[in-house]
Amino acid sequence: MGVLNISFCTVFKLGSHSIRGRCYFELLLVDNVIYGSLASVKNFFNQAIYRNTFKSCSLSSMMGFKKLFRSTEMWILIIFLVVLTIRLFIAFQSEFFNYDTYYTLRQVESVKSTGLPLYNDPLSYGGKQQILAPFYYYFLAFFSLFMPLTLAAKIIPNIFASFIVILTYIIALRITKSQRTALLTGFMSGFIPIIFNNINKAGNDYLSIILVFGIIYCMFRINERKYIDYTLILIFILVLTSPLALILILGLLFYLLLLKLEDQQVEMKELEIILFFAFLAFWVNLLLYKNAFLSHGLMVIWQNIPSSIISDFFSQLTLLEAILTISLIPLLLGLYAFYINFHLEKNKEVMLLTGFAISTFLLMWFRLLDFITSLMFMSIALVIIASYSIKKISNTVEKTKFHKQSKILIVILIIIFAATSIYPALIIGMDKSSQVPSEDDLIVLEWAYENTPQNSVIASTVDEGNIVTHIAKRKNIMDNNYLLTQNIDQRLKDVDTLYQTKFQIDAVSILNKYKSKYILLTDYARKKYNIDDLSYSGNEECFQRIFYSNNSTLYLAKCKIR
Amino acid sequence: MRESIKITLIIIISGIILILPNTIRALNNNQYMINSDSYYTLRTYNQQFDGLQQRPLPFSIFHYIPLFENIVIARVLPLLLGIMTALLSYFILRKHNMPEKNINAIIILLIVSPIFIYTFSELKLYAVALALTLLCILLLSYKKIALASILFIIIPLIDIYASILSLVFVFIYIALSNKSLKNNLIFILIALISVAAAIGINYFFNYPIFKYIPIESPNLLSDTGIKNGFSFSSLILSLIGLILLWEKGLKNIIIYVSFILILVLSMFSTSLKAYINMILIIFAGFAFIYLNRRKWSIQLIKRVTILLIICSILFTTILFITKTSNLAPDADYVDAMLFIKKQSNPEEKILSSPDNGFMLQYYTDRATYLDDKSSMFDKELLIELSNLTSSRNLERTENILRKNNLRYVFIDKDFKQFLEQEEGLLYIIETSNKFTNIYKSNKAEVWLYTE
Repeated sequence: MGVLNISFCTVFKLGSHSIRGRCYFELLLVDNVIYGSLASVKNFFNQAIYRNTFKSCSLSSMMGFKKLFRSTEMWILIIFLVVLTIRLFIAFQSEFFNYDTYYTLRQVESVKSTGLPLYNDPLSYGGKQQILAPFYYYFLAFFSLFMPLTLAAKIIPNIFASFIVILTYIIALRITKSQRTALLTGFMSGFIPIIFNNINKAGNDYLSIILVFGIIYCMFRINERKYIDYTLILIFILVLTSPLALILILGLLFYLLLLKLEDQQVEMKELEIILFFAFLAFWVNLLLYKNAFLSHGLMVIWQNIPSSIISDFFSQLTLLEAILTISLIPLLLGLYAFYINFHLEKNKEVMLLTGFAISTFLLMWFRLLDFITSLMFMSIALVIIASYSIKKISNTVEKTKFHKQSKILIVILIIIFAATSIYPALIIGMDKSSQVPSEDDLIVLEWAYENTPQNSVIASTVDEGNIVTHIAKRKNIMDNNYLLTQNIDQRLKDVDTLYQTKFQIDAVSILNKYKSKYILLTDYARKKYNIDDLSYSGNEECFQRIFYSNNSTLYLAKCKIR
Repeated sequence: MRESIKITLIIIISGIILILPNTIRALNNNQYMINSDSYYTLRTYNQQFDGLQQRPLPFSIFHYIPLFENIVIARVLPLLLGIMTALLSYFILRKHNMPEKNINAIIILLIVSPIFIYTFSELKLYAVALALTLLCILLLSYKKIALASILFIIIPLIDIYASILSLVFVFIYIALSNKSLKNNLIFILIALISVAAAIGINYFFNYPIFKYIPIESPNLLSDTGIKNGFSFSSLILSLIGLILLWEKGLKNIIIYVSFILILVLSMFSTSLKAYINMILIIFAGFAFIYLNRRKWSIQLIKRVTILLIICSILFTTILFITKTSNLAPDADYVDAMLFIKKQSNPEEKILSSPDNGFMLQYYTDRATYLDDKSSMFDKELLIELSNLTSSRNLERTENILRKNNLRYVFIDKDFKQFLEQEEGLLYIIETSNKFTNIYKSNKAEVWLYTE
């Protein structure tokens, strides 16, 4: 009993809620935990018995424990920890990352070794300039000082993703002033299926989401002095983290438009911050991306993505799949909240989120924003907006004869949500965590690192380009950093032809063009191009299989066209 | 501040800013002019027909004034014109009783604007036209109609294209300053007649000006690295100023719409940018003073925003001056070009990027395949360049080279980057025995094509 009380009280002390009523031995217990002194424990028991507080304190501890678990902050912390645990569990199913992450790892390694990211990349596309916002790489590099980089790259992004729970709780609490509704919102946001899509990707998506919605929250509280400072800090960080800052600016401009249309007054503070934010974001992005503007002109908005990839933009998911990945319940509740807000009562906070959701949708529709990223932002905005309709519905129910069944209704909602969102979220997470390079791929690339000339070029699929540069440390023909590359469509066509052609001469011609002598064939490439092997690889005089590990093979091209 | 001190300050500051690019070049032991239209102007100063490139030239009295063949004059004149432009702008604004702080902001924004520095750091005919246009406007503001009319007659004889822009801008000035069209009717008539006469003179000298419209590849912001663009911050300030100064009324709508249309069109013309810059900086100056004076609800945001604007403007200017001072040519370039001149026969042509055209023509005295005016005269060659540089077929490449009598390929760092992206000609040059590398230095290579 005493030991149990010790652990409870330790937990209580660590929580923000202290136990009502005096509990002298609580402080002693904390001391005991910290210093681990048996003598103190013995003293404590003697004192407790002497003061006869043991029984009363244990009783009050139990009551305090109950009260603590009634507090929503504790529950949101629990949800955060549960989501984080699930995410980490799924992420650690594989020791590898998704293909794009290997670019991030290279940048972080560059920061650690030289203090700067790789602006002049000697390997990507055979050597080119990279354009990037550097903050996230420095952030990850900092954490990799305390743990291995691969560990940091697994843990940190998932912490950010899980933190969305707490952030949505805080924002929903602000909008609804109802802890229960905010808690439900936080819970839903933790299990939005699309948020599990990038579970094995160490990109800056989740940090950008935190920053964007953090700024939105600070805008809600702009009349409080300290939130102005927070807004400025978050804006600076966001601008240096990702060009997604421009989405938020567009959202804020839509918000101003909505206010104007609804005859709502625009607060000068909001206008000033939006003006400052817009100016800063445009200027910084202009500086960061100036070479891209020079190379591609206004087409830089489409990031020089090959047209065949852009045309397949919406084929990644069907409409039904897209709705399910956003999560059905928040979508329906969110749409209801739009209706209430624009027809019945005006809520500025909901309008801001609505403006943001509209801007994201439009950017996605015009293919100016990556499909998955847009769905992630929209889904979180919808979940938060949904809290408004949950509150409205629950207020309505309270006035009816069903008010005694309101808890049952909430339970039903959670069950439906679990069926339509939690389960798909876990499925998506498990599926995405398996979309990583295989161990055989890495073995082959590590062999290539040790046994091929340093300036050689290895041909691979576009998605595998980053593992070629990171693991094999060799040049690639193409990867998914499309900016500052001319004739990107032709290059993609050449890579596709290399894997699909039946003719040796086409393959040799393409390899000669890009000065490549090696071709990597993996299960991923086989699946992508629906092939068993390279059709022309039968001619050993021209294409020699120099290394393989199960299904991953490295070919050496020995022929040249004169 | 006293008027004389202010005028002195304007002269000194504008002089320093304009002289900086060449001064930095001189400090880096580079006494050669920056690669720009100046080479073209100097090379064709006393010609009515460009014999090298086989093109007609627009009529200009500059071609008949031997003073302008002197390089020293070619360097000093733009500086004087720039200072004159800054002073004229000041006087015009003073005449219209603009608040002193606004005038100060406008003049500073003008002097540090990249397009102003670009226009007046080297000799360009439209720079002369612009300065004279401002003088006309000043005379009109003092109701010296006759003097203004006489002065305007000269402008079409200097640069016919710039004179059309001058005409439009004087009209805009008359409309915006609420001057009575009736009072200025004589000036308008004389201006129209002089432009029409100049067009006639050009046709007389076999230069159909409407056949050769100077359209450049679109660009707008110098922050993206181009040499003839606006500063992003000034552009944003101008838009804010335009919103702040927006007045209702059909006449104003027409003017504002015209202004926005001209701004869009200026993406395709450097001279138009130079003209519209004079209007943009007025709006920008207004916006800056307004933002500074306005009572912000968050003082911190105000301070940071103003600081950001100032820093971004200064940063753009410093970056622009640094970039301009490092532009070609330098001793390595000139050495390579003089080598070509020594090696080659007069009828042989040189292949290089259009940006290098004027410079190559000046130093080698040989024709180039393309230059900055090819978009006016030789549009089909631009398409052919794309075929030439992307083709890996030796026979096809040779056909084009032979057809255009191209014997030399001048490759500098920028052209090499372009050729590497095109992945055609460079491959042929490096692998075929029809091309011989006859000159190589840090900055440039020269390849000779032998049939």
